[in-house]
Amino acid sequence: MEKVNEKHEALSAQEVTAQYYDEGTRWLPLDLAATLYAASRTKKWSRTFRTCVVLDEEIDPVVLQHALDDTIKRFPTFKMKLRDGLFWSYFERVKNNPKVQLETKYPYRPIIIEGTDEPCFRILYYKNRIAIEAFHSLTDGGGSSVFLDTLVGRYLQLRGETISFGETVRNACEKQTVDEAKDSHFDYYDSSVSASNPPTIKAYANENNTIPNYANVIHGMFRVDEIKALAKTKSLTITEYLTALLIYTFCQCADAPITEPIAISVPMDLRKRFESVSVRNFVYMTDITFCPEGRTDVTFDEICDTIRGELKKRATPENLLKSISSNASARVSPIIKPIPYFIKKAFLNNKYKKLQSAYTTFFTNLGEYHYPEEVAKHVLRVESVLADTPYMHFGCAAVSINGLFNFTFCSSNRNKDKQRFFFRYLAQQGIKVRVESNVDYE
Amino acid sequence: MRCLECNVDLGENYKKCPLCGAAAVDEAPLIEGITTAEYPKYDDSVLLSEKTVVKKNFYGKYLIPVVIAFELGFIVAAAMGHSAFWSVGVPVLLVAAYVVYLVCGLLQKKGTLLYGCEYMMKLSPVVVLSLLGALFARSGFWNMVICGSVCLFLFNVLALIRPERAKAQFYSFLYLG
Repeated sequence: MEKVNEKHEALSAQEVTAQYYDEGTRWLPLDLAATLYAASRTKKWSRTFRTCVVLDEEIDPVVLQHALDDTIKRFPTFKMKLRDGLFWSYFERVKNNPKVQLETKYPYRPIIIEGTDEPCFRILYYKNRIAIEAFHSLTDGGGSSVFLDTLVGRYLQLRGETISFGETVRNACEKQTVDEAKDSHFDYYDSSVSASNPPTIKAYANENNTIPNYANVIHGMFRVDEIKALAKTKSLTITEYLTALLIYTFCQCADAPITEPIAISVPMDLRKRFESVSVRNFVYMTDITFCPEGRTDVTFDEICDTIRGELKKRATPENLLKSISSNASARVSPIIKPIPYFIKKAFLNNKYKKLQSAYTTFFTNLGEYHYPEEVAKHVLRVESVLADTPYMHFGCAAVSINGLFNFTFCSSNRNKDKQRFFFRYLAQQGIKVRVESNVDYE
Repeated sequence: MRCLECNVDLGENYKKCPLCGAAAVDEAPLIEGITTAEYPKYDDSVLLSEKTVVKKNFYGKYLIPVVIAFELGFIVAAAMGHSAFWSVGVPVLLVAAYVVYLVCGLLQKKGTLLYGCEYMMKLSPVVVLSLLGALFARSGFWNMVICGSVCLFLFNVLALIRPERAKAQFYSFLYLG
């Protein structure tokens, strides 16, 4: 798609934006999507996600720390902490490099975001696993994957492997480019395009009885070709099939007939659509909705028929541009800009709550990873973990590599009836499923 | 290992199924070539220990805006004719505030000591002059109090902005457009 704003016209302080791409940059404005995540945080919760790579050897923390020191130089936009300014929140560079941490606690332990000199992400390791947990204002799943992949590439390089770098695994010894650091929303923001209307429905929602600092992670692994063949029998894509199965799971596991629509939010990575290499947020939120209307005899085929082709229909260039306009309009509005941030924050927080109430859960599919040969031979699996929120029962994420599909549930309560139904259903359809979890296996 | 209830493969060292709790059965997995990626053993006592995500800032950061607010108040009070008490109270309060700020700066982190001392040294001549003028002046000396307070107010604003000019430019100019 053609860029609308080659020169970032919406940002008038060019001399400030030029500083973004320098390792010495001290401050960085949040990208358009990040503003909402920053405003929605509370003292006990912030929107965070996790991506992991499992290697074929136990992780050496000393080498990993060296790799992190090099990778953070490569991506200085990660070396930031959040600050609340007069009119907007922003990122401020931290002085010290982050330290790799041995994972000893549940995933999604709160990241201290402000009032600290630590960046808004952490790198964890345990046995063969390296994980990044990042505050969503810093980056999204795609951006954090780039960081993690580059970190893994640098780690393997320091271990003696010769790596051929590319877009997936970038060279940690090079400098961050302008395109990697910028907010890609502004390349395609067109003030003449009207903003999309926010969702107004109130979706079906489970009561989420969260346990503080607890995370129940369940991975279900199966072969890509098997799930693809199964989805094809219903003329669906893998994402559509699994989304339909999530909806069916909610229908089957509900305590009472569901009258509200079941809406699954499906974030889509805009980088592939718009040819962006930015490591900051650049994602489009769409959703797939099905309303049982109080019926208890909803069939899986009925759900499939309803949602078939919906994702493609919603992800048109016009809708994507409208979504970007929606994010950008508040930031560029001359009326909204001078309002003090503490007032804006209250409105943004309210907006986030309304958005959350329009979805039952999230499902993000990061797609298939293609590593260079020298990296792929050491990578056993990749995991993407999306935490639940105070408003949603669990989060779902999926990623695949080397023909292995990894679907992950993450929940902060001990209830597993939906996870159980979901994987049992797949097994009943003939899919060979392997289940691993961080709890309840001993 | 496998769970026959759920009909899924499990990790090699699993004793029970994480989905249903049924005992794991020692059978060959259906998907070959996958090894378990282990998680650490958790101590559930940590569920109560971490409560917040936000640390409180140190209080010196808020001290200068409070001092500026007081100074504005004293300017108004002096302009309204309440000069006798305020002409002494203003500089005394400011000296106390600056001492507290310096102490807070010493307690916060390295680097702030120099900043705190520099700040004190910039404004102390004005504070001392104002204090002396207030102590030895006549009871109707409110003109000097107003001027002194205005000067102190401007100095404080300048002291705040000068070291952080780039930052002020960043988050005010950029976002005001």
